[in-house]
Order: sequence, then C-alpha cells, then structure tokens
Amino acid sequence: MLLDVKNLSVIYRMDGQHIHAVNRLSFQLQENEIFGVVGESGCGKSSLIKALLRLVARNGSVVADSVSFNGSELLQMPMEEFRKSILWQKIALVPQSAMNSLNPVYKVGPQIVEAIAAHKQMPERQAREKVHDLFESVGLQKELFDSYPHQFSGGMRQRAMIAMALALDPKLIIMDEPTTGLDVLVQDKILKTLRRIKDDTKCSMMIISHDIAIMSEIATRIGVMYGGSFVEIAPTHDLFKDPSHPYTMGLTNAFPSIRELGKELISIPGSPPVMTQEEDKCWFEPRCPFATNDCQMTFPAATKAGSDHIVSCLRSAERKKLARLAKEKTTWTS
Amino acid sequence: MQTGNNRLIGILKVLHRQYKIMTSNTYGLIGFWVVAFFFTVALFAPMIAPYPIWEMQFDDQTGQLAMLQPPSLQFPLGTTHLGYDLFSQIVMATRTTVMIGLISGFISIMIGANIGLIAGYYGGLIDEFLMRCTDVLYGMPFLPFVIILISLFGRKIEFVILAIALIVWRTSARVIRAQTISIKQRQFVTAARARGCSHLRIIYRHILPNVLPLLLLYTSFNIAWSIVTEASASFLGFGDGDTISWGGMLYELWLSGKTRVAWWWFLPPAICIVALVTSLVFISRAYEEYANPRLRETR
Repeated sequence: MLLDVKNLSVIYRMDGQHIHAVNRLSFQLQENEIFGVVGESGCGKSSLIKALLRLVARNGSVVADSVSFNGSELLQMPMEEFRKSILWQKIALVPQSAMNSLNPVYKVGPQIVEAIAAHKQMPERQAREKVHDLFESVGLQKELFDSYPHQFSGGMRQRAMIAMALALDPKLIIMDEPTTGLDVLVQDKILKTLRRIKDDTKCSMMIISHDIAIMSEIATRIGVMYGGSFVEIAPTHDLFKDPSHPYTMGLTNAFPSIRELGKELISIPGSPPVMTQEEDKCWFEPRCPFATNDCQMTFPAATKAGSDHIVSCLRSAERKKLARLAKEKTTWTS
Repeated sequence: MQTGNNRLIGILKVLHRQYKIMTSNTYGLIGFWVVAFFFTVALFAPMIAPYPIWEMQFDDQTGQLAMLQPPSLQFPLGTTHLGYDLFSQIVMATRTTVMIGLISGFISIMIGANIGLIAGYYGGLIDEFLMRCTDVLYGMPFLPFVIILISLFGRKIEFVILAIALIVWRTSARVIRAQTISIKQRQFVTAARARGCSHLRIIYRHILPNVLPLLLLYTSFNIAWSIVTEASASFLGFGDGDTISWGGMLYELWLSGKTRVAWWWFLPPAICIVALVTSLVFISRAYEEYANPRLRETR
C-alpha cells in the first residue's frame, strides 16, 4: 500500500467560525494505480490535496489518525524534512491551472533544469539531459526547451508541468484538474500521455476532477467526495455499473451518455453544505431523495458493497432498488 | 573560458536591454545621455579639472589674486571670493555627488527591496513589524533626520551616505511589498512551494525577478532622491568638509554673502543638480512605462 489516510480532517478558522473542509476522510492508495477523485466545487477536493502536501494556509489545521505514505507518517514528520525528502521527490503535484504554474520570467527548459539541479545537487549537464528526456516522454519537442512559458499553448504548458512533476521519479503524482481548460482533443492526448507514463514509470496517480466522464476514461478506481469525505470508493467499472450512494447515482444521472442520446439530464437540486461544526449526520441528507430520520442522527460508517467497493450510506443494503428509483426524474424533483 | 565568454555575452545582452528600456522614449533618451555625461565627468574628474580646488589662483595678466572673477578664458566658470577656480570645483563636485548618489541609492534599494520582499512574502507579524518601522520613518521629517544623524556621527562622507540611505529606502520598501503580495498569490509560487522550494528560494528566485522592473525604477528614483538630499544637507553645512559637492559649493557661496553678485558661482551647481536629478527622473519614467504598460497606451 502506498498511501493510507485515516480520519483526515481539515478545519479552517474564519471570522470566528470553523469550516470543516475535509471531514473524517479515509482512503487507501495502491501502487501503480490511477485513483480518481470526483466531486462538485466546494466538496473539499483542493483542501485534501493541500493537507496531503502540508500546504494548508495558516488559518487551517489538519488532524488525522494517520496519514501514512510508504510506511512513514507524513503529518508527524518535521516540516523541513518533509519539504526536502517528500515533496516533489516522492509526491509531486501538477497544480490546478498548470497554465500559470511556470514562472513567466524564466525559459521553460532551464527553469526545470535549475529546479532539479537545486533539489538533487545534480550537475547541470546531467539535469539538462534529464529534462530533454522528460520533454520527450510528455510529448514536447526538444526545440521548445529554450522558449518562454507565454510562447507555449495551454496543452504544452500542461505537458511541461507534467514533465516537471516527473523529474525526480516520484512514487505518487497528484494532479489537480489536469484537463480543465483544455479542448477535447488536447484532453484526450494528455490522458493518453498520463496512461503511458503510469505504465512506464510504475508510479501511482491521484487525479482530482469534477469531470466524471474524464475519470471514467482514465481512472482505475474512483472515489466520490461529498461534504469533505468519500461517500463511495469503487473500481471504475463497478462504480458506474453499481452506484451505491444516492449522490453517485445523482452524479451519473447528470452526465450525458452516448447510448441514451436525447434523454433529459437529471441534476441534483440544492448545493453542497458548508460544515461549520462536526455533526453526527449524513451531510447529503438535505439533498437526498431517500433520506430517513436516521440519516439526520448518524454519521454513516463505510460499509462494503463489493470486494473493493466501499460506500457510506445507511441504506446501502437497498442500493439496487434505490439505483432503479434514482433513474426517474420525479424521484429528484418531488 | 567558454562559459566565461557566454557570461560576458549574457551581461552585454542584459545591458543592451536596459539601454533599450531607458531610451524607449525621448525623455528617457535625453535622461540617459545627460546621466552618462555626468558619470563620465565624475569618472575622469581629476584629469579634467585644471586647478586644485582649494588653491588660490592668480590672474595671468595682472598677477593679482583672482577674486570673484566672472568667467574668462583662464577661469572658464570664474572664481570665488577667495580666488578658487569654480570650474575645477564643479568638476570635482560632480564626482562626490555622483558617488554619494550611486552608493546611497544602491544601499537604499537593497534595504528597501529586502524589507519589501520579506514583509510582503511572510505577511503576518513580520509584515506588521517591518511596515510599522517604515511608517515610523515616514513620520520623521526628512532633512532634520539626516542632519541629526550627520551631527551625531560626524561630517564624514561615509556617514552622509549612510544617513541618506537610511531614510531614502522607505518608499521603495512599501511599493515592493505591495507588488510582492500580488505576485505571491500567483500560481507559480504555489507550484514552487509544492515542489518543496525553501522560502528564501521562492523569494529570491521566483518573486524577485518578477519585481525587477519596479526595482530598477526605484533604484533610479532613489539615486535621484539621494542626490537631492545630499545637496540639501550640504547646503545647510552638513556635508563632508574635506570633499566638495554641488550643495557644498552653494553653501560656500551663501557663507561668502556674494549670492547677488556672483551669478557664475550660483548658476552652475544649481543647473547641475537640476539637470542630473531631472534626467534620473526621466529614466525612472521610462522604467515606469515599462513596468506599467498602461501608461504607454495613454500617452
């Protein structure tokens, strides 16, 4: 197991209020897999990444029973050690809107060379060769080495950022919305590149996105986030075939399917909760068509719904029936 | 050797680029050449000055002490009431003034840039502390502060330079802090943090190059301000007594009580101060246009 997160919470203090952005979240990440994290805006995806990379802003605090990466506890590690031995070396981030993540005043190639040389005490010549190889592996021409970021297209900058993330052969690459803002063809090429990199380097990837269609294409396993924790985690195929949480059912309804063209999409009414205190209840309850009185009083524990399929819903035993009902528009509107 | 050559070419390229920025408009062009002229004079001052500055001169024709003579062939800018040659004085004074301007200008931009970068980047208590220090300096009346510093430490040129630098940095610190705050929000800074870059590395490798145009603008501005301050302090008699500066020449004139008569004594230092400071401001403006392209469009 590469990463094991148990009961992770991220709490921000704002104007005397406590905002629970990530709420008792647990998940595991295996080696050499692509784990997709989906969820709508405000469900805590970005805070989860920040917590893992220990980049949470000063007004936020991170608590967890355990965040174990390759056997070492990430949150207990001294910051300096974490910064020097984990960040980028072991866990690399391709940030959201990678288009703006290159320093505009440096040329792209030298920028990466310099970063590597500083981090690894590698001779510059060797670092240069490394970057040439990286450019090749992410599909950038070598001639682009001495260009400035503004001369790159969005897709090229995304590739450059992926190259940067790969530079020190990390075990885990976290990608925050890697395809947002790119057109469909470029998206497709980037996804292909990612898949090839995963096969070549045997690293794991954690891809965060709100686009469930992209996820279905690339992820081997998907975690659905709602209200700051995973409500359902399942292998991609199982998740779409057998959605077990009402929120997942709603999400799959909200995306067009090529087989059911012309069918009206059903959206989930309401918006994600702002959690100002830790309460023992299901946070999806206000929007859930299947909610019962119990849902307001119990924090649903993760239960097994298949061999590798975990769901946090009190009514998960009735999931087949609920999934059928969820296909009807009237279920969501009434 | 190869890399040495490349480095030289790199430096030349950077300088050429700076020249292009400075001379991107007419005022900048004028400013650049006026400043270049004064710098050249300063560099070769001892070779240009025909007489020692504090030595009484005698008229070639009459053989008498050349007291308060208007410009002539022998004394191109006339003489003082003690028979000192004013042309030699102004040439040597250029050297002092340019040196004081450059050194205090650079010291002050170093202080200002670092305080601005650190305050802006770290924020919080550090920011609060550094900016309140800056505010305290803003509360100090400019000239009295310099004068007190100089009278405390003595009328030595080192202390004059230090006193000026200690007060001129305040505006550059504020402006660079503001720019730093804006740049640190940018995505590439977060990306650098996620790569495990240290704070110092982020400040000096990632943020500093992005505030560079502003930094150059304020370097030029600080040099100009330093020259003005030095002139004012010297005019009030707080310059270094062992060297001569433009402000010091005006001070001597004031002491002699010949201000109304000796226009040739009064005009050259005054014109030099105005010309050099204005030229530096012109250069600053060229940098300002470069740093803030919106100014270019409205012109």
